[in-house]
Amino acid sequence: MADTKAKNGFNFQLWRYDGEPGELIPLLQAAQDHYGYIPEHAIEHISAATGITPSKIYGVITFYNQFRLQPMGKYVIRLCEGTACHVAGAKTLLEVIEDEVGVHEGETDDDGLFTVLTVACIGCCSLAPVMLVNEETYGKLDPKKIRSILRQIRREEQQKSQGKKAAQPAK
Amino acid sequence: MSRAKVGLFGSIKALADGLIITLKQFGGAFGGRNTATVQYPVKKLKMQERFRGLHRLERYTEGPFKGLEKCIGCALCAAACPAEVITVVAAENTEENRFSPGERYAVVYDMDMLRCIFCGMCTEACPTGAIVMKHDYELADDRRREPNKFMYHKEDLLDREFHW
Amino acid sequence: MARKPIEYVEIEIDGQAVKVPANQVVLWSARELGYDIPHFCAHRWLVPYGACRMCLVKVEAGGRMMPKLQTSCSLMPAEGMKIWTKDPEVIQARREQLEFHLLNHPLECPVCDKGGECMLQDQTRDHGMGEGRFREQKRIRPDASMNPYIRLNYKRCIHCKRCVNYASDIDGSYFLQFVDRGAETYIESFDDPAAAPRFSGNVIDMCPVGALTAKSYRFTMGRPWEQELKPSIGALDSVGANIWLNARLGDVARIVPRDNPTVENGMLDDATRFGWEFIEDPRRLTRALVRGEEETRVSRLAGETEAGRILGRIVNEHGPGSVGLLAGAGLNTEEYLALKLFAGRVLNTSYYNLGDCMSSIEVPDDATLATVGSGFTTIEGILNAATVLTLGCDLFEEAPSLGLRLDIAARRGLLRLLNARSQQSGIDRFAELSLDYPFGGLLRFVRGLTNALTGQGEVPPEVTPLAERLRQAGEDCAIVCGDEVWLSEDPPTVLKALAALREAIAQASPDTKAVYLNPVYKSVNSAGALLVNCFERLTDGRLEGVTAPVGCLGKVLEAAAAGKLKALVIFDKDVLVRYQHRDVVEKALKNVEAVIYCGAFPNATSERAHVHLPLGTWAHREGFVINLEWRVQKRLVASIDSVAPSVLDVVNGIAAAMGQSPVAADLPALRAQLARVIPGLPTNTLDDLPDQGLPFSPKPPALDRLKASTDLPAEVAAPDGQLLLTPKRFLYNDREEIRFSRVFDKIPKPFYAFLNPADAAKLGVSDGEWIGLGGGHELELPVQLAAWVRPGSVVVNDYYLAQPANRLAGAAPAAVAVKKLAGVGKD
Repeated sequence: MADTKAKNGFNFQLWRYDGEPGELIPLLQAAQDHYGYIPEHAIEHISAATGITPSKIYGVITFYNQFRLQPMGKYVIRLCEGTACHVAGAKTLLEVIEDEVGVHEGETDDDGLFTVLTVACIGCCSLAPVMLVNEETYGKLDPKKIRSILRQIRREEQQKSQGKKAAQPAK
Repeated sequence: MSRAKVGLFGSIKALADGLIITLKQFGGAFGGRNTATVQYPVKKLKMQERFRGLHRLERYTEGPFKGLEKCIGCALCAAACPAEVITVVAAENTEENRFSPGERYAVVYDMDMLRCIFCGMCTEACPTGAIVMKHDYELADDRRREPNKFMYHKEDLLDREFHW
Repeated sequence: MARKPIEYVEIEIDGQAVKVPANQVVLWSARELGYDIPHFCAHRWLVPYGACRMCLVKVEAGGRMMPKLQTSCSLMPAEGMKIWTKDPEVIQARREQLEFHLLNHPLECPVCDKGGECMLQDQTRDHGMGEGRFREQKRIRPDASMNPYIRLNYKRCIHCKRCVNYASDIDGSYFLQFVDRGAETYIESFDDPAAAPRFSGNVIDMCPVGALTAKSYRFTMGRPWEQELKPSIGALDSVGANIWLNARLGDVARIVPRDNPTVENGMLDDATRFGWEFIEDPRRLTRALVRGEEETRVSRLAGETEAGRILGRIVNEHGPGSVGLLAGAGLNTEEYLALKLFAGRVLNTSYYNLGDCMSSIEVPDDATLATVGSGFTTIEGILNAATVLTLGCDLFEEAPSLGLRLDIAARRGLLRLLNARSQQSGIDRFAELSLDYPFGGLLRFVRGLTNALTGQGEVPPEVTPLAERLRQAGEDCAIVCGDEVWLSEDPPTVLKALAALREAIAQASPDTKAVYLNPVYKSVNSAGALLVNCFERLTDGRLEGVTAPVGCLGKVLEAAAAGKLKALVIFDKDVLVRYQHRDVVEKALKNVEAVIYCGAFPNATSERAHVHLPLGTWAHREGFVINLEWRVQKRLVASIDSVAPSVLDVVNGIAAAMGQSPVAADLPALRAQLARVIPGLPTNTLDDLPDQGLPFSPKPPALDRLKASTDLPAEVAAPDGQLLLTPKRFLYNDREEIRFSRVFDKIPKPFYAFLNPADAAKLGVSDGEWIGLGGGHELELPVQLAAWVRPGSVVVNDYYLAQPANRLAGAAPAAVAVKKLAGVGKD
C-alpha cells in the first residue's frame, strides 16, 4: 500500500478495500481531496486497483454531486440563492459576480482563480444576501461590496505571484 | 283520370305538356338551369369535398418546413391498406439531402392503382397528413404491361397536378 | 443433473387458485398462466431490479393485505398468497406509472424502427391514458453511435436499465452505464474502439423501446410487420443458434434470435446477428467461371457441362479412384449424402472427405464418433453439470453463445468452471482454475491429468491443482473440448485420451455419477458431415455403389500431390488457407489436371480452379443441420428474390453432363434416403421437424477397441530466440459471412500477431509495429500486445487470407523465428 501512495500521490488511507463495492466512494473522495477534482488517470488507477470498470466509476462520479471531473478554481465562490437571499436580490448579485469574474455560473475562469457556484442555503439568512469564498463568509452584500472583495483577492494573488517572481532571481 | 273523359283537347294538351318538358331539357343542354346530365368530357362535375379520388402526396406549404415533403416514410399507409396497394421504402435524410423534416423520408412510394379500392384507409392512417385523396377519377388507360400506367411512383404522386 | 426438482406452491391470482413454482417470481408465473402483467425492466436473463414499477399488483400474504402495491417482478410466491392483477387500484397505478414513462418519450413512433415491436407502444395501447397531459418541453439529447452496429437514441430511453444490467450482469464488459442522476440520467456507451464487440447486439432485443437500434436495419429495411420470417440456423459456429431470417421485398433485412431456450437461449453473438449482408453481395458468383486460356463467365449449365466433360474424360481415361472430392462443413446433411452418392456412383472414387476433419490419417471418424457418441450430453446438460472442464478451446471465440451461457452460470455460482488451453481466454474471468500449456501440448496435458487421477504413470506437476479439483467434481462433470483437438495432427488420439480422462474422473471422484464429453466442432454442420461421411461404420446400412472414404482430408490431398488423383472436386472449402500443410495443398493443386470448385464466393482455392461453379449461401439452401449436441435442426430458404443452386442441383448437373443418371430426384428423396441409412434420425422430412429441432442419439461404434495410451508425449517448447506459433480461431476472421458483409468493415478484426508484453519487450516491439515470422518472413503482421498470450508464444488468426497462418504452421506445433520489421505501416 505504501508504494501505491508514493507512486500515485493521493492518499489511500480511507481505503480498506475488501471487495465491497461501497468502498469506491471513500476512494474517489481521497482522489478528489488530493487533486481538487477527479482526473482521468485517477479513475484508471482506481479501476486497476479495485477491478471496477472505468465506466462504472464514471457512472458513480456523475451520480454524486460532490464529485467533480473538472478542476476547480483556487477560490470557490458560492453565492446563496435561498429564499432570504433571493428576496434580497441574489439574482442581481450573481450577474455582478459573473461580470467581475468573467465566467458564467458553474464555470471556472481561465486563470484558475475563481469558480462561480450557486447554493441553495448556507444557513445564515440573517446576513442575506450572503456568499462564501472558500471557507470565508461575506454577508449583507451589495454589488459594490462584491466587486471590492473579489478585486481584493485578485490583488493579493497578483502580489503573491509577483513576490515569487521577485524572489526567484535572488535564489 | 279515365280515358273516356279525356277527349281530343285533353289529348293535345298532354302531348304539348310532354313536348314542353322535352324542350325545356333540350334548352337546358345549352345552359338551362335544370340540367340532369353534363356534357362529359367537355364538362366535368365538381366533386363533393369528401370524394375519394386519386391520391396525392402533399408538401408543407407554409411554416418552417415549407417546401419539404410531408411523408416521413413510416409505411403506416401500407400497413393499413387492405388491398396491398402501397409499397414504401424509407431512407435517412442527410443535412445536404433533405426531403422531409426529421430523420426519415420515403425514397420509394409506389401505388398499384389496379388494386386500389379507394377506401381511404391510407389517408386515415397517415400521421402527418401526407397522403390525401383528391378528386381525380379519370384513371383509365389502355396499357397494362410495363411501363405500367397504373403503377404510380412517388414522382407521379408528389406535386401531381389535378384537373379540377 | 445437479438441479433440485422444482417445488410448487398454491396461490390465488384474481380469485383463481393456481399452482406456481416456488423458485420463480410471481411476474413470470402469472404471465406463463396467461395473466397480462405489463413490465419493462424485468427480463428473464436478468435478476429482478424493480425500476419501472409497471408490474405492480395487489397482494395479500399471510392473511393480511400488504399496505402498498408490490412489484411482481421481485415478489416470490408463498403458500396461500392472494394476488390481484386487475384491481382498480392496480389499473390506476399502471396508468399513472405509464404516464411517467411517457413524460420524456418522444411521439415519433412512425419514424422509430422499433415501432410495431415496441413494448412501450403495446403497453401504452393496453394500459395507457390515451392522451398525454405533459405540455412542457421534453428532454432532448442528440443521437450517438454506440458501436459500429448500434445507434443510441437518448430521447427514447425510459431508463428501465435493462441494457445497463445486461452489460454488467450478462455480457460483463460494462459497455453501457447510467450517467448523471434523476431526471438528467442518460445512458452512455463506453465502447472500446480497439476491441470488436461480441455480444452487444442483444441489447437491441432487450431494449423495450427504440433507444437502441441496429444501424444496418435502420429505416431502409422496412417495418417489423412487413418482414417475412423463415427459421434458419446461424452459420458461424457449431452451437447452431436458432435465428429468424427476416426478408422484405425479396431482400434479407435482418436476423433476429428465434429464442430456443435449449440451444442458445436467444443470446446471439454479433457476428451471427449482423452477418447477413453477404447473402446478396454482388461479389457472390451467380454464373459459372471457366478458366482456359482466359477467364470467361458462362451460364451455370455451360459451367456444369464443362466440369462434366473434364471429369468424364478423366474417369474414362484413368478408371476408378482417379478423382478426389472434398467438402467443407457448412453444407446441409442431405447435401453430404448427395456428395457421397456423387463420389461413389458418378465419380467412382473412394477418395472423398466430407466435413472438417483436417488430419492426414486413415479414416479416423469412427474413433471420433465412438469417443464422442458414447458420452455426449445436451447444451442444457453441460450448463446443469456441477463441474465443467473446458479443454483446448476458447469458447468465446469458437461457440460464443455457449461460452456466454457458461460464463453466466459460473458467475452466478451454478457450476464450477475449470479451464485449460494454450493461452488465456475471456471465459477465464469467473473460472475457479485456469491453466495454460504450450500450444500443441493438449495431448500431453490430458494424459498427464489422467495419470494424476489414476495414480499411474508420469505426472507433470502443472496438472496437480486441476486433478485435485476434479477429485471433487460433484454430481456430474462435463468436458468441453474444441479447436486444439481439431488442429492437432491426430484428433482421434486426442479424443481417445479425453475418453480415458472421462473414465479417470468418474473413478477418481466418488460422488460423480456421470462424466460427459462434448466437442465444439469447427463448423455449423460438422456433426452432420461426420455422420454421413462414415455412416457405414455406424450401421450395417450400405448404399449401392458407394464405398467408405479412404481417409481424411490429408489422405486425399496427399494422393493428389503424389499424382495418384487426376482431378479434385472441392465443395465450399478453402483448403489452401485452412489446411495446415500448405505445401501439400499447393502440390496437390499443381499435380492434378483439373480442379473443379463449387462455392458461393471466390477465395484462395477457387482462384486455382479451372471451373468455378456457383452455389447458394446457407440462406438459399434448405436442409437439416446437426449441432454440437446432436440436435437435428432445420434451415429453410429465405423469402428472397435471388435464387442459387443447392449442392444437389450442381451434382445432378455435372452427372447429366457426364451422361450419368442424377444421384437423387430432389431433396425430399435424399432426406428419405438419409433416414434409411442413418437409423434413429428423428425425422425424414422438413415439415415434420419442429422449429426447435429434435435431439438425435447416434449409435456409436463399440468403444472397447479404443485403447488409450498412458504415455506422456514430449514437452513442446520453442528454442531460445524463437516463439511458438499458435494459430487460434477468432470469431472475426476472413470467413465469407464476415468478409463479404459491409457491416464488419468498421470492426477492428484480430489480424495481428499477438505477443505477450514480456516477449515484446525482449524483441523491442510495441503495439502497431510490424514483425516478420519465420526465417524468410513468411508472415508479416502488426503486433498487438496482449496479456492473455502465454509467454514464449505468438498467437495469429488462423483464417486470414492476406497472411495465412499455414504458410508457417506445417506440422503443429511450430517454433518460428521472429524479427522486427523496419518499415512500419506497410500493408
